[in-house]
Amino acid sequence: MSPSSQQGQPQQDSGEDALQYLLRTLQVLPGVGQRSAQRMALHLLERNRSGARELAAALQLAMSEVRHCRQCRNLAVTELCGICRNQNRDQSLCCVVETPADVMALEHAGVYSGRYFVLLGRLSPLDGIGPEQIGMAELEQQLAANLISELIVATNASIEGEATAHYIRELASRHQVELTRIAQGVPSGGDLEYVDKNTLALAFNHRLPMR
Amino acid sequence: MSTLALHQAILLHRRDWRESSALLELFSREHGRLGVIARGWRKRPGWTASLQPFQMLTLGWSGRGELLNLRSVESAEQQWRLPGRRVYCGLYMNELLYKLLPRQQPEADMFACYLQSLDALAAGAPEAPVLRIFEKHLLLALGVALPLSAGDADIDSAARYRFVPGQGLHKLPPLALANDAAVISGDALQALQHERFTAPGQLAACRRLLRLALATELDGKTLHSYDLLQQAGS
Repeated sequence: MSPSSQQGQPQQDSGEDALQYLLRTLQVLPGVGQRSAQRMALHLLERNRSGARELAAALQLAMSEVRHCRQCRNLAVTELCGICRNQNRDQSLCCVVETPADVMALEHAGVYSGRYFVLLGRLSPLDGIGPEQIGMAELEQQLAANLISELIVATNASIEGEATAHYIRELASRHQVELTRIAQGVPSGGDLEYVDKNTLALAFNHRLPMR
Repeated sequence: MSTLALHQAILLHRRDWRESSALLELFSREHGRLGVIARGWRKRPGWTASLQPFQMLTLGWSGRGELLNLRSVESAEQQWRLPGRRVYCGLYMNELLYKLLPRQQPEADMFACYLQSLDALAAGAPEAPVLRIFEKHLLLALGVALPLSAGDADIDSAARYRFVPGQGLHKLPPLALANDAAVISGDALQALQHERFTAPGQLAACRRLLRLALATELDGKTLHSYDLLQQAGS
């Protein structure tokens, strides 16, 4: 990496004018190809220059301010994120999720009032992602510090999610921390006839006594 | 329109491909390892649940060349549930197949061995023998010179052998002083040949030999799932 890109300086190619540079860089966004980039660039340049300046400033600010929370690894603007600092939340409950998007989904649902640990990935040996890359050493430190009374595993219902859950189980049992896992089964409002075979099997294996 | 031929295959690995597609590495019954692109897979009903490892899938694909296009996915007819650390064993087998088998080369015997290994792991059989037998069959499929097929010449159970990569096994003279990882007893070799491990130590000896032979084939590539298995104490 060149020194200038480390400082976030523009990397305009030689022979490329400002418009071409904008069209190329807009394509870093997911789902944005040449045509969408062109539509966005023309909109910003012709109809909303003030909005565009604000967008540029917001991007600048976010890139310099947003980092990972020291405790939960979620995106944060302070050393400890808002959730980890919030004393009204049960800080002894910790839910392990794969991505910041999972935290957002759970927060949006408003059903959980503990804190999180964000893996920023999942165990995937075939992609070369091992325990070190998903913060298992940090999680183990937190378990060893005896600050967590219940660890809730909410990794995805995929094979890699399963492997990750198993790894966390080993850690939790080593430190004698209670471990639970979110239930898997029929979605609410879902018709059984449209639920896939694997989900039905999980729903049956994890059936609960009716009270 | 011609009807699409359907094939049985098991997913070894799935990786995101461009914006909304996935590159599937499959192990198919008839065509060996294949790379197939699943376009827009997240939006296709049933594809996300089915396109997972350790399930027998019935798939239709089209195209020719290195990468094919996935056209249809029938819901999985058989699924192997690998609980706990057995999922690491499954991932280990997948990683070996993914890294060592060449694409588009039929491997019917290896496919059968893979199915048997999955059956055994899902049924709760001890893991180590399953993995050693799997590794042996994979080495045989790769053409590694190990005289370990059932019909091969007799191995002297009282002798010791040295494995030399690229050459195979050499019988050592009775009093030779050699005790490194490449040396294995005839007794352990026989156990591996007949796939029956009886005495303690045979499995560990075979593991050392197979590891060495696999490392030669991997040619410097790391096996990440092996590290996971090691950490979990296999």
